[in-house]
Amino acid sequence: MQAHLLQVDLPAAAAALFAALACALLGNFLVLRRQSLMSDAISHSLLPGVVLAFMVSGARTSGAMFLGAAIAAVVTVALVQFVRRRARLESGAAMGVVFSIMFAAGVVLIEQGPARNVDLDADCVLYGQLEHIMWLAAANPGALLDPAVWREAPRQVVTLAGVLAASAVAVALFWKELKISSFDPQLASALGFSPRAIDMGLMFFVGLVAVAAFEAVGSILVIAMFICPAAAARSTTERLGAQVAVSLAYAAVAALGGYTLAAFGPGWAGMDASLTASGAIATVSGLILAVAALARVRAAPGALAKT
Amino acid sequence: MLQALSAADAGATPCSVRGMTIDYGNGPVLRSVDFDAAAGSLVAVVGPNGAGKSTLIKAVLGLQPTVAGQTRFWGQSLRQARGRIAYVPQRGAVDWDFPVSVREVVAMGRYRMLGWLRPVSAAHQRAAVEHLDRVGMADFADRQISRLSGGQQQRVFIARALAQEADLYFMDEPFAGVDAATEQAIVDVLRALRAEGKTAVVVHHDLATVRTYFDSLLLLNGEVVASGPVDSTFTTENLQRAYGGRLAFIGGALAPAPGA
Amino acid sequence: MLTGETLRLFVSSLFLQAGYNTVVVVLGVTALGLAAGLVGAFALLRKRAMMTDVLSHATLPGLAAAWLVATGLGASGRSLPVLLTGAAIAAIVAALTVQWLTRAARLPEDAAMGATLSVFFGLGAVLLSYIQTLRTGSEGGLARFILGQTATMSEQDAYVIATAAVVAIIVAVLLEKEFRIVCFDPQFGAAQGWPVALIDLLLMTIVVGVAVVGLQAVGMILIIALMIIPAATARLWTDRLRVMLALSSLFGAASAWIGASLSAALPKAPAGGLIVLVAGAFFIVSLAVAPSRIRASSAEAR
Repeated sequence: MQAHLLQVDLPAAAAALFAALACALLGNFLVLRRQSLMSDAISHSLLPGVVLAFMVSGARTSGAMFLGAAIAAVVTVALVQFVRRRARLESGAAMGVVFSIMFAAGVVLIEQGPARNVDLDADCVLYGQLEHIMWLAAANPGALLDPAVWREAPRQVVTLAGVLAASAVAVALFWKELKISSFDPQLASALGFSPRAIDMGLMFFVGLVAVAAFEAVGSILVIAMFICPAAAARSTTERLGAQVAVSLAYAAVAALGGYTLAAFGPGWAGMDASLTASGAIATVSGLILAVAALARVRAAPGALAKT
Repeated sequence: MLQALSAADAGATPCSVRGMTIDYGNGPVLRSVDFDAAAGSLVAVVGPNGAGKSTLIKAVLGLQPTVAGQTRFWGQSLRQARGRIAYVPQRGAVDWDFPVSVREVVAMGRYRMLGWLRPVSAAHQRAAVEHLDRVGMADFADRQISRLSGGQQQRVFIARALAQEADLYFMDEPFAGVDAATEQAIVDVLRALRAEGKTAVVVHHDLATVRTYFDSLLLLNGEVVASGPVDSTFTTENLQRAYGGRLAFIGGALAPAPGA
Repeated sequence: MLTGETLRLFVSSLFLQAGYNTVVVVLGVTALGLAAGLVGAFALLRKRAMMTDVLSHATLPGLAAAWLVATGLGASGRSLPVLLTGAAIAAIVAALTVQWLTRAARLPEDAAMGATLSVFFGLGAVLLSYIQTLRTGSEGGLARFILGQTATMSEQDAYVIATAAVVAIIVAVLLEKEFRIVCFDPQFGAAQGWPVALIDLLLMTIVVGVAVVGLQAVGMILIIALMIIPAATARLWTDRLRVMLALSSLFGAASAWIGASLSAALPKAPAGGLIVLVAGAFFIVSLAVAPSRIRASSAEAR
């Protein structure tokens, strides 16, 4: 039981936590900049990049997959811009056109040639494989003190920790620019910050986080984690600094709470069932958002919505 | 005069607003507005940015929830009078890339007469072109609306309101950003409406032309600063009260415009 | 991959020579494509493209809940009308959730949509994983709604799809004038006394209807494509609403027809992916050669 906790639950919960924190951190700016749905588009259109990387490299190696997905993310952002301008569509429609074609290409490619032999299907793209992350070296609590055991920490967890750290550093470094350009893009460009450069930088990190997170937790949870904690935090506070802090707290609660519910909930209820952890985490983040939104409605009952 | 006669009879006042208050949730945008538009008058709604001019028009037309107040049209409710009321929204409010022709946009002014499910008949199509002609746009009937200049787009909106064949017209900033030919075309339309005894309430931003174009004024700044005939209300003191310190910028506009 | 046998199967399905069941399925899916193209054109013009994505993803918990309820009551979880009713209810609840989050809780609309989409889908995934552990043997039917699978469609299913598609087409044609004014200038429509909210609701109802019956053929993740891509393609060719509606229906029907025929030949590949790739090919070719948008943008520059 204890070994299972360390070898299976600990790394899976850590992966969920790091993914949730990284997504929620950047999600604050997506929500403020009305770009929430870009996380939907990017996380869907990673698929063909991943599948092509499989087909070219012939193996489920993290390097090739990371590269393929990252390229797909950049291509998505560029294509959405291109279709928006060239076909003069509103951004939602342009996103829909681009990501659905890319996702369709991905699901058809999966069934073809070498990719079919790799352990990859649409299910693991959607829900991730949180349950498959294992840290076999961590057989007992004592092993956690052994550096050799740490060197065998699961690849996904290490990647996610790295991406989380990189995003945190980037947000800290560009805090002022992100803040100004999110609240008032016109003022930002008047002050000499290029909103376009900030935009591309943010999208780059969104892509990076989505790529790192989606293999572990799946694209649906990636979207939920980008949007729900930040939206809930926005309903809780008006100040950006507080909003980011609150969103990280919400993300942590959702990740750990959702994982616990999925992993142990059925057992506590006496059922012989296993639930998908990423789905449960998304559901808990939705509950947090519902409570935060309800609290906001209660706090200002007389206010009329702006039309 | 028609104006004097109908003012006595409330049932004949085209638009009468009492105690209208609007609040988005951060304090009132408009406070307790009382206002009458007399039959056969051209009323300018004037005030600084954020004074609540567009908001007032939208609220009167039922497009904007109000906290308090009521509006009567010829003594009737909005529901009863809707067929006699036309509306020109701000030009920026719609997607000009929408796949419709000029004629189809003007024909939208007839939709209420048609009612549910009935398609636009040939007679209504013809009516649309006739109203386009009144603003000098008949030659553009089959053009896609994105291939018009800003002024031409505004004239299409005016023609659509004319196609409603109403007795009371609400226009939101029709003179904003238009060329001289369009401005003249709109003024001609307004004067023709007045000559037919109809009423127009127009949100207006150009103080220099208020005296020339309009007979009545509603001066707003979150509440009614002044309302009534232009001659008695369009005064430096009233404008100072509405615009406050910002009047310095527009001081030159206070002199009566040439030809007034 | 393309072999002689797949090619023969594809061509015979395309020309309705592949056996009665395949013919009915291909025709049913084509009717769906026609309806999706038509309804999707209004959704695109109303700027509700991503809303179709939200609603279709949100059907998952409804499908799973309907399966659980039906199975719990001792009925078969495979009944299509029962499953689709659950899906439609979930989509309506999702639409109301988005509305509540934007109006009452004052969230930005895109955040409300993304949150609703992912949370509903996440909840559906939880229910689905629970159903899979029940090992009743009939749970395999649900996964097909995610990516679409024409191979499992019965004649009966095809009739359900075609009937719903025809109803949606009739509603869209009858209400063309009403949809037009609400899509172009809702404020003007409201000022004329049209019940804009009701007309919007009717539009979203037929969008949900088409999305729900399309789940089996195209799958919930790619329904948005069948609604939006033909409409966006049609918009490239014309500046007239009626022509756009006709072209959009045509592109939708052609994509569905060709895609469903491909799917008959390649039963392992998800039908939704194939149909969307055909629709995408129409879009990409049109983007390269269609004249109208370029002329329009140069004329606007004045």
